[in-house]
Amino acid sequence: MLHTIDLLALAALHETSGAGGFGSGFLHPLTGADHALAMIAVGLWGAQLGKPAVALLPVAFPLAMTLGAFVGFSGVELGAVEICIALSAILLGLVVMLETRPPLWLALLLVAGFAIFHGYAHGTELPEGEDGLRYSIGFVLSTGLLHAVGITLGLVHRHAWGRKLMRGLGGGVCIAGCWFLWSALR
Amino acid sequence: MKHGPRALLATAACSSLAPTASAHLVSTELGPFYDGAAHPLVTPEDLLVILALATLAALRGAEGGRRALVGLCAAWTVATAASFAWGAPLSAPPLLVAGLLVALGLACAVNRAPSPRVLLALGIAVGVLHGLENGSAARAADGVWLSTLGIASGVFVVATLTTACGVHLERRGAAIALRVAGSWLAAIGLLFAGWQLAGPAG
Amino acid sequence: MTPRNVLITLLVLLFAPLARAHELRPAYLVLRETTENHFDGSWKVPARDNRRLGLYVRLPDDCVVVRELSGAFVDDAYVERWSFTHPAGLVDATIRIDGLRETLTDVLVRIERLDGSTQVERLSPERPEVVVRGALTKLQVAGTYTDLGVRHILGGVDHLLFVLGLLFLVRGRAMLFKTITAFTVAHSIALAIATFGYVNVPPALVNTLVALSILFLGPELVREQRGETSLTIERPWLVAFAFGLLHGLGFASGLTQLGLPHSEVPLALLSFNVGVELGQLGFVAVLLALGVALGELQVRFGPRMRRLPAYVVGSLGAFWLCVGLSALI
Repeated sequence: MLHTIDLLALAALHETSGAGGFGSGFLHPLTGADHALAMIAVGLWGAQLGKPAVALLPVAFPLAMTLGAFVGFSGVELGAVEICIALSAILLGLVVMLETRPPLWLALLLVAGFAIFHGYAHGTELPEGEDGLRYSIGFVLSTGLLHAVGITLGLVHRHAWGRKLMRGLGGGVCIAGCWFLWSALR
Repeated sequence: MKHGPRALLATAACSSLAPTASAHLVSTELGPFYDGAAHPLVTPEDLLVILALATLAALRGAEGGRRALVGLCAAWTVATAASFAWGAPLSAPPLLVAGLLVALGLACAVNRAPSPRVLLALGIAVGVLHGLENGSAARAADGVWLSTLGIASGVFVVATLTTACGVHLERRGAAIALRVAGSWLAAIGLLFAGWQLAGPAG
Repeated sequence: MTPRNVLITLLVLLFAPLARAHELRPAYLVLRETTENHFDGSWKVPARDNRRLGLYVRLPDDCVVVRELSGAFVDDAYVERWSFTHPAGLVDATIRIDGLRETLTDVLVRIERLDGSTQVERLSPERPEVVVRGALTKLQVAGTYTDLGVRHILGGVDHLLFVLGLLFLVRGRAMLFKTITAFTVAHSIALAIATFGYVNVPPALVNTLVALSILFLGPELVREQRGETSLTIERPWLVAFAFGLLHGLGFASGLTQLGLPHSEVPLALLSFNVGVELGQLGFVAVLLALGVALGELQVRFGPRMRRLPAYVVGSLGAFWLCVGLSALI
């Protein structure tokens, strides 16, 4: 057990203990570019949609994502996961590019649906022998922070040039998604 | 519990049997009080559940926060002390902790905070559960009553500060931040539950 | 249960048992350099009823034991003495305690060198060995003594209680700042003077006087509660300064017990003082944050509850005064 820890090192405890449970959990959502881009796109879209979506999307996404991870743990086969994730990046990029404004429930449903696939992908590729709780904390924190990045980027939305920039970013995500789709299908 | 000759003999017996003696309190090298006080800060199970309760209670403003805080701190202290005194080998099953996190976090995410009265009861329930766990986890440490006192103080400080933070946000009209926090906590709980049920670690 | 009752319970719980001593005793290893590369060692292990804890010192292999006295039970300890030589004067040598891993005891190791420098280490089941160091670098001195300072203040309940009393006495941010600064300046001065040996007050007397200072705050706090006024309430910084000198003497005796390096005395002193300030500021920060938090939660205290700190501070001061006086006599 952890016994000789300097008081000053307590803050760093999460990283040093549990054989990197927190660290690997935190890094996991960041490792796949398709995941990271899709999550940033969710943040961007939320910023475009404004209140209340900007707050509700980040509420819904982590929950739906862990639900997907839950499914992934339990060994249920969803199939075509890579394709769905690539599709989600394309679609999310597209809606950001076009500044689409569907009804709130539809937006939530769309995001939650994709989140389940993202979570599923993470759930099936978990490392062995880590501290489960610390891993979960890291995982959810980094997912949330990716949203925060998107929403922060979305702060430029109040400027005219910012809106154009965001649509451009959406286009970028869309193109990247197409590439992911191509490599998934190949 | 006194460290009389019996405790000394027990220690001697331990050294002859040579098992790895593992004190479950983290050591700050500042004595049992600080070891106990650091415990809720460095134990994710405890910290998360305190955060979840604080976030949920804060949705009910100062009154909700107060009730939950009182229930939590009092029950946690009493349960830790009781667990020390009776030495009941109790530990909260991880799934229960996960379920608690999901329940508290979800209630918070969907903005359905219970009444202050229910919050008080929730605080007591959470406090009893985790206090019993802390008590049995920490029994290996020396200076048990000082550790209990430390745990109680640590929980009090952490819970008070987080609850007050939440209440502050709620009053400033930033309740949505609390809901986001709730959803993250629920997500952590859900992921942890999945891990326990079928995760790679078994 | 109302919040008030719980708080009373918590506060009483917080302060009542702190006066109790550590119950599971550590073992002591003292190595004193008598002549160049020549050491006298003494090893004291807790024992009870002629049974000793199974802890054994393993000196480095290149040590040559010159003389070994057989061990004996003394009171509730088992004591061994021996003398030995080591070619490199133990620098960078590893001393292990066999059997420590299997116990819950700590071992205090103190190595005293000819030049007067000392190394003090606390070994635990997780870290059963120590590497003896040579002369410390400046950075090591600063780090070690800052750490010791933080530990000293956080372990000194009497000092913290005095600071707590001051916090309850002071009204307003400016006054708080002044008071804490006065206390800091005063104990820094006293610490320096006492460490350099200009003033020498026996530790028992210092402890008693520190207890007196805490007892003094009790009635002042009651006065403040009643809305009366006094010199202390109008100028708390004055009291903080005066008693700060006393507390500084207390820190100095703590520092002397820990031992100063032979060189770098001013640096060690400064670092120790910085450590004490850091610990003290941390304590004050936590208390102030708690105060703000309780305000945010709209916790209101009744008159009885508001008087509680005064009585806790006063009675503990009185208790420690009695203990100190009995130690003096």
